[in-house]
Amino acid sequence: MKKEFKSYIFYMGIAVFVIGVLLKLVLPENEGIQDTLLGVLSGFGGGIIGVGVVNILLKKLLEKNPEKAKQYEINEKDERNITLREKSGYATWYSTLFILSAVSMTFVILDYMVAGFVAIGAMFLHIISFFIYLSVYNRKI
Amino acid sequence: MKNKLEELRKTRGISQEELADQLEVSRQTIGSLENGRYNPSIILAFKIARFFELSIEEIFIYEEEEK
Repeated sequence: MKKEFKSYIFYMGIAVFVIGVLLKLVLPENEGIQDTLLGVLSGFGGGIIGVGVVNILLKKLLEKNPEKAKQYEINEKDERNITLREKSGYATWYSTLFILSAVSMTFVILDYMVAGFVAIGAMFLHIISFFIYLSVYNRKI
Repeated sequence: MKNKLEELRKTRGISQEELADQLEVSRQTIGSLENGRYNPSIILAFKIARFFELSIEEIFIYEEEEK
């Protein structure tokens, strides 16, 4: 499942990039919204394409070197490494929450209310996503 | 949890790398298991026990925490 997803990342990047360019061409002129969309989507698309290219290069490199490929697979599946990733992910959840609350407060103090509300919304989505995953894994495990 | 992994490995004359290869885990996992920083999953505990042809209880020593 994970391998399949990795192989699609490059194409996802291209799709997002193309959607960004198409929206720029299709949408009517409206106070620079096209430029913002083009910037955001081509930026995201470029980033995803970059990740996809790294994955493709890594795959090619590992295909040429079976010894390295075996070690890579062991490191990917190693249970201690999985535990490390899970613990890091858990710690990252708290640091993201702290960062989002700091950003929200900063925006509100500086009177950037729209940006402040967007940041507070993102913080709530972050918290809600935790409970959604909790419920999903509660049913799976 | 304490264990006899290092003692058993050295008795058999195998390196951490060789044991890691046999168990299909990283060398760092073997190191962490040996110094008690990491407790294995039940699957890895079985793999280790089967590798040394011993029972899990003969390798891993479970001590109840003092209340």
